[in-house]
Amino acid sequence: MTVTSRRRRHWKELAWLTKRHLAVITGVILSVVIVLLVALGPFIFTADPIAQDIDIRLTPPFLLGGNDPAHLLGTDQLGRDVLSRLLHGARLSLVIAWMSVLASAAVGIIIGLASGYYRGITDELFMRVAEAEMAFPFVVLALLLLSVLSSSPGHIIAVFIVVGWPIYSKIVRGLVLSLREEEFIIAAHAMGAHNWRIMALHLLPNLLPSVFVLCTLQFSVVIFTEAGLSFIGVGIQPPTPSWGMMLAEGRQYISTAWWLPTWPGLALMFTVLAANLVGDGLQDALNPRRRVGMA
Amino acid sequence: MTRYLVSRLIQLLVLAVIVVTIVFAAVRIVPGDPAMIMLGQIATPYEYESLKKIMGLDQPIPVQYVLFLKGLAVGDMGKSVFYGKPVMGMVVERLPATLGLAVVTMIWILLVGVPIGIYTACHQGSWADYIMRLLVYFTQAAATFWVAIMLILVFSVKLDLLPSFGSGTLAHVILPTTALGLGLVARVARFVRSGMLEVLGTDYVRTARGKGLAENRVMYGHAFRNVMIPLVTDTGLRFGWLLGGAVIVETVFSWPGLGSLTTTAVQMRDYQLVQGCVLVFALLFLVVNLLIDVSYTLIDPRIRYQK
Repeated sequence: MTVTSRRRRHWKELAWLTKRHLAVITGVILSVVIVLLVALGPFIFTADPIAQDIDIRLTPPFLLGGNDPAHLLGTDQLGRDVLSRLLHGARLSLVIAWMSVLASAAVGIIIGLASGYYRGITDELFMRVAEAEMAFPFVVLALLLLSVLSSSPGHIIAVFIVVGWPIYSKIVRGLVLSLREEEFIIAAHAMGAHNWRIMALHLLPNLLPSVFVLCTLQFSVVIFTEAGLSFIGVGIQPPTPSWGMMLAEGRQYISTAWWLPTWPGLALMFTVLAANLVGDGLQDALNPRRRVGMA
Repeated sequence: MTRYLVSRLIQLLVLAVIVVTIVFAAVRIVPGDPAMIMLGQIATPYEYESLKKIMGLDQPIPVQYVLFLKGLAVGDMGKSVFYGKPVMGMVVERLPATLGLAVVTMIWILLVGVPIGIYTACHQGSWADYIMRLLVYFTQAAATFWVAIMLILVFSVKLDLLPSFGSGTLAHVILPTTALGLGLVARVARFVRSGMLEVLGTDYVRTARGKGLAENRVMYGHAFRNVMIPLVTDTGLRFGWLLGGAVIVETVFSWPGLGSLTTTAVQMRDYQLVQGCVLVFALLFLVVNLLIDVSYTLIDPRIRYQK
């Protein structure tokens, strides 16, 4: 076989893989772009996100009615640069969302493992509470807790953990119930492995892929809820910019400045889109029934 | 059937008690003082003590709990400090608007989503199928309250076609239900599509076609009937999501339902009212779930719940 034909085959394979995994590839690229924008953006677009300048208030976005390239996405009602506010707002939103998701996953894994492995009264207790909590719409339970707490980022994360763990523990428990009957677990038992060892070294690695998929899907729930809470004023407090709050403020100027409520929602959309695409792709990859062709 | 219903009702009751306990505990165990938050920094100790008394917070927690349960048993959820009215009355007054919004949304989602799902299942790989797939990704990534604002921007501000807030006429219902349902309609379509694809390969569909039934009859009468059970479960579970979405969408459209009442209550730190609203949301969800389970027997004659 000549080098060229091998290379051609190589390209063919790559094209096939790209087509097959188009969604997940788009998701990963989108995620990388978002992370880069959020991490490096403020060094490129150096406008201060909280500096006010009444003279240039409500400048339309560049080329969309505006002519100031210093404010690509326009300025808000106080003359603050919308792009900088978006980028800075993203930092806190993303950190809060990922920390909440990972922490609730951790709590959910521990409770789910304990419930599925020991069963009995532990199981009954935790699962009833989980079911009861899942009867509340996510945002409603978060609202209830935040009505008593002051809304600092720490509190918001804590609330999301309290509201978020049940779904993880339900899934983990289900997986553990079926895994604990598998031969490798019985073998580990027979060799005298301690319960802790079985849970940490034999069960946990088998749980992580599914939990990770759930994380990417729950990410959208959490980031929407965080934006929603900021939108009605019980989330992140001004002057710290947040997407939800920018939406709420922009809504007041909807008849004069269409760009104010538009950009934060689009930012939210692409962030969630990235996570959902990656999550769906992973789900396909992990679910053998949906896996096709090339192994 | 009766036995099944009784056991389900007992389960529901147990969950309801836990739900009530969670709501009770949330505002008392969380490290924040409701009375202090409501009054703000400028309150005198006397005001503080008397507000605590009004809210019943001066009692020991176990006593508060018993009083709370006793009150609930006779439909008393305390008094809203901000409005000075009983919470129960306010909630009951607002409930129909929210339920109406949710039901109308459900209906349009199913009316639009199901035919699209069936169509794309029959025309796999067509342009409609691809557009559908793209739409699913984009509509699911759009926050409902942002969709609500964008709808207002386009249909109320720019085109001046539909009212942006309030309720009363049919025109008022269009934007809120569109915003609320947009994320779900694509989901329903996808769900029906994959369900149909599974069913279309089965023997009984081939038999139905073989005996010369009209294609529509095969699709709706034979194939779709078997997609309905998972569809009802999935859509039913989304009902809770819908109620959650309603909280903020109602606020955007000033829709006089339970959701906007909840946000006002939270903004006013009127935690008696928050407590009542939240409780009703959760109990509503439990009841809807029960109804879904029972409705299976109507859809699928094979399920009769008897042992």
